[in-house]
This record gives sequence, C-alpha cells and structure tokens, in this order.
Amino acid sequence: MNKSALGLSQWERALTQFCANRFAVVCLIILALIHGAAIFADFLAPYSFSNEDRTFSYAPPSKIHFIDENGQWRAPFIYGRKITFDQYHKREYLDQVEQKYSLRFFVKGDAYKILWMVPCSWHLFGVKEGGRIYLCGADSRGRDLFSRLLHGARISLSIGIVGVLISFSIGLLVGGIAGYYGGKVDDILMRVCEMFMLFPGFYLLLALRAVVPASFTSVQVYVSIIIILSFIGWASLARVIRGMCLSLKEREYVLAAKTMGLSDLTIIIRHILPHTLSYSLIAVMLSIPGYILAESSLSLIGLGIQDPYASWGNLLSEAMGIVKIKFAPWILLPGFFILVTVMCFNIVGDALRDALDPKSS
Amino acid sequence: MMLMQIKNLSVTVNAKAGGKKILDDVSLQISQRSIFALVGGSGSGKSTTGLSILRLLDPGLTISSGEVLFSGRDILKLPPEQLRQVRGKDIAMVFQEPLYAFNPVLPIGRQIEEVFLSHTDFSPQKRTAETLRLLDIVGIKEPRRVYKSYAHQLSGGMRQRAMIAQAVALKPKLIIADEPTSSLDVTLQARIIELFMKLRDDLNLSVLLITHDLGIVEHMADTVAVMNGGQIIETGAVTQVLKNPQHSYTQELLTYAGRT
Repeated sequence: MNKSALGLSQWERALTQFCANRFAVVCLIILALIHGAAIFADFLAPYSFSNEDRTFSYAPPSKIHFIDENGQWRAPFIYGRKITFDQYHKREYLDQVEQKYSLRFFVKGDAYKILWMVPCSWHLFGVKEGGRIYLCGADSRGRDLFSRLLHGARISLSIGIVGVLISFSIGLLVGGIAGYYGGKVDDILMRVCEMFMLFPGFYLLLALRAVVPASFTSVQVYVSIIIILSFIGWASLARVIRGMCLSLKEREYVLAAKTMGLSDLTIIIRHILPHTLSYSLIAVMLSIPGYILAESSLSLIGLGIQDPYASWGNLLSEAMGIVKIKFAPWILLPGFFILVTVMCFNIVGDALRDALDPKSS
Repeated sequence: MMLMQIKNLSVTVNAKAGGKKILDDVSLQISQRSIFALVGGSGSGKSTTGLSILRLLDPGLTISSGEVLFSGRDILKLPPEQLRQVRGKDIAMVFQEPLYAFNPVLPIGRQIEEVFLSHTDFSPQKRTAETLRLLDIVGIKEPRRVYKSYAHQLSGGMRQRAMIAQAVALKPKLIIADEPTSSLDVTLQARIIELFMKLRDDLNLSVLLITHDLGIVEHMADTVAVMNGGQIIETGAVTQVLKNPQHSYTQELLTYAGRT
C-alpha cells in the first residue's frame, strides 16, 4: 500500500491547504520568531529586565554608527551620552564624541540561567562596561526597553498559552462529560456554564482579581492571573464540545467500546474527544489573543504583573500620559507587539479553520 | 452445563407514557461451548435481546422485567462497576460492520489493547505482545502491519477478524455476535464461521449468534430460537427446527430462504 493509493490523510490535506495561504504562513513564522525570542530572551537581550541606570531616564534609542566624526569607516559603535536639560527642563542626551563604545557580540553581562536551568552570563550583543546600548530607547528608570520587551514577551505569551491549555482541558472535559452522560448531569453542567457566560468577562476578571491578596509575590500573581483567565474562558468551549459529543456518542465504536467494558472516562477521552480535535485546535488559536489582551488590560490598569517584572501590558501602562508619548514615543512599542501578535494568532487561526473545516471551500 | 439463562425478559420503549413492549417475555438458555442462534426478520428484537444482556440499550428503552442469569448472578441487577467487569471480560460482542465498530482515528492494535488496559495490569510491552498473538490466532497473516493500520486501510474480512481478536482477548465465556457475517461476501462468511467454530473449541466459549441467514445457522449453530414481533415463537435443536418447523413464521422464513 503506497501513500498515493491511499490518498492524503486529513492532516496532510490540511497542511497543503494551510501552506497555500502565504499570508498565514508569514504570520506563523512571525509567531514562531516572537516565541523563540521570548524563550531565549535572556540571551538575546543585552540586559536583565531590572537592570537600570537612572541617569538614562527616557533615553532615546541609541544610534549605531559606522562612520566616526572624522569620516572614517570602522566597526559599528555607539557614542557615550550625557544628559543635559534645555531651558524648559526637557531632557536632552548629547553624544560624547570622545566616548566610543563598539558593538560587541557574545559579551558577558547580567547573569541568568539558560532555559531556567544552566547558569550563564553570555549575551548576544552589548557594549563594554560604562556605556549603555538602548536599541528601543529607555523607560523612566533607564531600563532598556528592548530587553524588557523580550522579557515581557515571556509573561504575556506564556499566560496566553498556559491559560488556554488549562481552560481548554476543563472545557473539553466538562463538555465531554455533559454530552456523554446527558440528562441531569448535562442540565446541571450547562446551567453552570451559562452562569459563567452570563457575566461580562472583563468585570468578572476585575472582581476575581480583587479577591487575590495584595501581599502576593509576583509569581503568585502570575499564577493567579492564569487561573482567573482560565476560569472565565472554559464555558463557551464546553458548550460547543457538549453539542459535538451528543452526536459522537451515538457512533458505533462508542457502543463497541462500552461492550468491551471501558470506563466512561476512557471512552470520553480516547474515543470521543479526539474527534473534536480539529474544532478545538481552531478554537485554541482564536482564543489565545483574548488571553494576551486580558492580561495586558489587567496589567495596563495596574492589576496584573507588577514592576519591576515586565509584561507587555504593564510596559504599555507607562505610555498612559500624552506628554510621555510626545517626548518618548518608543514606549508605545509594547502596544505594537501586542497588536502584531494578536493579529498573527487571528490570521493563523482563520487559516487553520479554512484548512481543517471540511465544509469550507 | 448451563452458561446463561434469560428469564422472561421484557423491554419497553417510552416506559413513562405507558409504553410499548418491543421484547415480550423472552426466555432462552445457552449452555457452555454451544452456539446459539437467534433468528428473525428485521425489527423482531434479536439485536435488542443481545444488547439487553450487556445492559447497553438506548436510553429510551427500559428493561421492564426479567432476569439475565450469568454464572449464578443476575446481570440486570449488578452495580455499575461489576457490570463493567462483566463487559469484555465475561461477555464480549462482535458487530455487523467492523468499519464502524473501530474508531477511525486510532490504529487497530491500540484499540485491541484497550481491553487489556481496562481489565488487566499488563505492562505496555505485554499488551502489545498479547495483541499481536491474538491477531495471529484469528488468522491474520501480518499481525504487525494490521496492528499499526487504521480500520479503513483493512479489507472487510481482516477487519472482522480484528474485531473477533478484540472480543476473545480476555477469553470471555460468551460472545454475542450481532450479524457477524452480513457485511462479508460468501467465501469470507464461510471463513469467519470456521473461525468462530475453531475459537469455540480452542477457547471453550459459547456464541450467541444473531442472524437472519438460515444457511449460517444450519452450518454453525447447535440450538436455534426464532423471533418475531419481540417474542420467541419457536426454539429447539437446529436439525429439528429446520427440518420440521412447527410455527408458520418459521416455515415462511424457510420458504424465502429457498429450502422447503
């Protein structure tokens, strides 16, 4: 039996169709890059998320030069900068021509652990002690925004993925159980779902966040945000999965599994839920942006991740004053990253739906 | 020796609103190492009888009275967990169309293994080894290939053999075979019947054969019961019933099967 005689499997067909959508493939690559950057944030970023130098408050992005003041070509370098104030007390950073810091690769800097395990202090690039390089400018306390964006990506992206995984496990299981057993169990579980769907999500989010003690450490806050988000997100999925299970449980292989004495849970997990996979995969892709946005909104209004830890939401919260945006426009960058990520997830999700849904043309 | 006894089994549809009996006072006895055929037209209640033995009727159907005695216990009164132990371990089932009885997204081997997974504490290696051995027993030439195949990749005969392999995995005492040969062509039917006879002798099991094909009954069964309209209208040894049918419906069946 060769492959061509059997035809393409469902997944191969879906893959072909997905790849035909060039735009979605580009988005998928962007997502992969952003996630890769988040995983290796420590190495890619020149500084740790809390490395600050207050003499560089709101320093604009460093200009990388190739030609020095005498018109000579040389390896890329940046000038040292000195803060002064103009007559309106506005900060101005002046290049110090005599201080040159050449851009160097694989330099030692802030210590960290590769993948949270191996201690290391190498960074992809940096400048030697005394100079500071700000690829995307600095924030109010002179921390490198580029480094903080990369570290923030870890929190913002992982909350989306972990949150979705938790809420989908709950949603699949609850939907599966409700659909499989039917009757009273179904009634009760679906009424509970409806109660969760009844509340406007964001207010429920705020209310639940208010229950979390203020004394929590950052890690505890992070975990509690994930739990709160998953808590809100499972209900709508559970309803759809329940509907699919109502029809799937009538299949003969479910009856066959029962005659073999498989337990109900085994039947639900092995014989019913896998058939909802293509739907759930699409739903996962389309709901991750919701989690990223919810975390960002919480952090934006100061209820999420707390300084000095970075997430895209709390980085963006610095940009809440028009004056800051006027004089340090680079602090809007986290918003750009949120936009791009959310868009990419949506486009990839849509493309997945087109590829996996047999009813789409 | 007696293996299973069904006493006065009645099944009602829509019991709350008065209901209508679709099985009416069905009684039968299956002895050990025998093949018991249940014959009848469509809708006569053959399959319903088979499914009520394992208590797997549709939610709309209720068993209104009767007993199913299996090695001294009434299956209809067993608590859920003990009932689950009976299913697959003591009584297994073979379906008419194995294409639908196998989950299309799991390889055949993995599905046969599920029987061991839920009834034994075999290690994964042992489960695989046992499954391959079973596939060999039911006469599959390349057990390793079939183990990895999906239901749609196998021929009808192979699928039915795999289904039987799954049914005999834990050496049950009774196999309920619901039209096991109806989806196969004539030569394959003969092979599957041979397989059932061989397994009966090797594994010492009984078969409740649900069918409408009197040819198979004649070849295979020891005892036969004829059903019509939810009732057993005639029962007896196969030779006797087929040679000398007492009931007019049995005579009719035989006429249409072309053996008057």
